[in-house]
Amino acid sequence: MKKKTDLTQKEFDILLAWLDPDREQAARKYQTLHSGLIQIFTLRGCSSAEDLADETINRVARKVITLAGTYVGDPAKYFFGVAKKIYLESHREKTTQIESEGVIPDVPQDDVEPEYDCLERCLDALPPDSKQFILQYYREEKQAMINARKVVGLELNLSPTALRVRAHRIRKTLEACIRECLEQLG
Amino acid sequence: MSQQPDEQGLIRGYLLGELDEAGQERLEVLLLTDEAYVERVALAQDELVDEYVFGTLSEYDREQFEKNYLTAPERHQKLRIARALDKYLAAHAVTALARPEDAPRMWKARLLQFLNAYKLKLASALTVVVLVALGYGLWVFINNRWLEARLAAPPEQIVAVERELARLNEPEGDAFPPGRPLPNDAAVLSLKPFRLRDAGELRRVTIEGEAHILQLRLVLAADDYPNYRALVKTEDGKQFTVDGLHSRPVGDDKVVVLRLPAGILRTGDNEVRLFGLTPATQTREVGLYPFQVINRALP
Repeated sequence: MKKKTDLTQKEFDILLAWLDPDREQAARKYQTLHSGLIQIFTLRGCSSAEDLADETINRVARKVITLAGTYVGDPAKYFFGVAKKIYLESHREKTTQIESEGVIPDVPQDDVEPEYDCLERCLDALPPDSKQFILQYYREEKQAMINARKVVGLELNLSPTALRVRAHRIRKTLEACIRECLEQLG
Repeated sequence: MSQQPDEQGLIRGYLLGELDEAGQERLEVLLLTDEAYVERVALAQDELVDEYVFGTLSEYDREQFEKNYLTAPERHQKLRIARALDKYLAAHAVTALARPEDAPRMWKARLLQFLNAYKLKLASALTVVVLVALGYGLWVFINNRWLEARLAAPPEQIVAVERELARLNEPEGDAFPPGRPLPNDAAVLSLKPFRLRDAGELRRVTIEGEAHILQLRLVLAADDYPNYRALVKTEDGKQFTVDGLHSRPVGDDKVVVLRLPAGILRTGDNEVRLFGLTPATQTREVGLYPFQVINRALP
């Protein structure tokens, strides 16, 4: 993968204008595209999702000058097409590396001692009400999942969306903290 | 942000690698146009990983998860973090909800954190700490004396009530079996265990002048124990223990029936904590059942 190059201000302005004539709306669409691209590459199992997302945006931005007058349709689909191409390129590189180095895909380990230590630290760093919420939420969710499997025909009773979203956001904060902690531990 | 069951199935299928390429691409384009969708997919990932860790995935889904989801180092790490969280929950099995008696320790910790964060000079920091500690100590002393006064009751009264509770809840004497019409002197309230998601749900009973007994039907989330113990906390701060309770089926639910003399329940907030008893006489809390009483029989 080539080293990413930053967009110039002019290229960035042209890209935003292509996304939407209203600059604020364009900025929002840009943010959504960027986070969506990272999510796609992550979900497809790519290890450097942010770099690939940036590369996608860079390639589209360089094409926009010629695209703007001729392209018809949702820009998001064009972004997706470029992302797909970049994914295939990176996948080919990764497959070649695996074949040449004989790397066996990682198998999950049972020992989670480093993660556990970092989790304790990161839980203590949370505000007390967030810590209490997340622990109680997962304690109850685990029991609910186990019960759902025991009872045949039980109607799915999903927790309110707001609870799930809150739990997910706290967990995202926790995971980021744990990853940083693990990096510090080496 | 709402999520329909079929959308959830679609996201799940995507994560498990079950969608065809067209389906996969339709979903991924949505990720580029709908920021809320990004969060919904991330949330579904959390739940899928949790199901794998909790062992509640079907065998087929588990195979798909291992084959199609665990394909990147970041996902293995997410799985290890989820395992660490599960391990933590198991190690802290008894509920760690903040109790009033924990408040002093939490406030002290917060105060110390505040002082450190602002790096006050040692002399002035110590002065502030000493002054605050003195004031706080005085507050705790006064508060504890007040609590003791509230909880104090002549021992013989507690014994008499617990004797009455034992009589009302004798296993053989099922005076009010569920399904049969209740006598006029009994009020009934069915309660599910309190969950965060149920906050705001009405859990109230009115005891009229002629009712001498309140029958609580405590719905069990899971019936894992041969015996149960109930710890009843009344509005005026008294606590009573009832042992020898058992579960029974009522409709589609399993419930523990608990009968309380109406005379011990004043108007206000009361609660029952239910504990399961293992054969080795260890206890595990299985549910908290708060409820409100309006008791017209008492002044």
